[in-house]
Amino acid sequence: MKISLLYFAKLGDELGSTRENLEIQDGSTLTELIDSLVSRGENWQVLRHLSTNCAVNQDITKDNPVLHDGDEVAFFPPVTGG
Amino acid sequence: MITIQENDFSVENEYNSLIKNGDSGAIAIFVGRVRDFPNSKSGFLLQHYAGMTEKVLAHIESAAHSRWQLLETRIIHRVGQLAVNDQIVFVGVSSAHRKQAFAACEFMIDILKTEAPFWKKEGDAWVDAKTEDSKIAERWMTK
Repeated sequence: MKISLLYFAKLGDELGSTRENLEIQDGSTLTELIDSLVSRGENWQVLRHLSTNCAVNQDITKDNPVLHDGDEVAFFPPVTGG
Repeated sequence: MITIQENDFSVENEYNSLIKNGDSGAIAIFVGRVRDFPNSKSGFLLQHYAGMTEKVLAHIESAAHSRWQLLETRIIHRVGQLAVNDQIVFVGVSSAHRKQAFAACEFMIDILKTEAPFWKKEGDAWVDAKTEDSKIAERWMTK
């Protein structure tokens, strides 16, 4: 199945990417996705930082949901608007 | 109502949009502006997560309506390149009485600052979040 990934602000700079589409195994969980992303290299460890937020389909999650085809998974640092 | 836009906004127009017949006894408005820091001559760039931003702001508005007796609420947040003295954000609330209007306006900007996915970049550096802002927002969780 295919999902889209988004990396915002400082994370986009650190990972050298702001958006990508990724083919992953059916039934993969968010944690499995993060594990596979982190295995890409040292700079990807940032995805495991406590301060890094993760949103699945634009809702912040602290859980480990099963991902579905077409899901949008975003990673971003603490927000600084207003 | 929520708007994310690059253009500036008119406080007077937004103020007028909050007035609802003769019931609006109180209107509270917050406007956030770009400050003139000594090492920040060019202002900053504001990035956001389109789609999620609108979702979060709509949630903040509905949370305010369920906590207080409000008539109208309005949030405008600008994105893109902003210069010193530019307006960044508008939060406005109308209500019958001032206490609800003040509280709801403060609540909305406090939660926006810690939950709405906007990020500021000054020159080449992304601005770090302030723990003080999180503490201010947390006060509303216990009230």
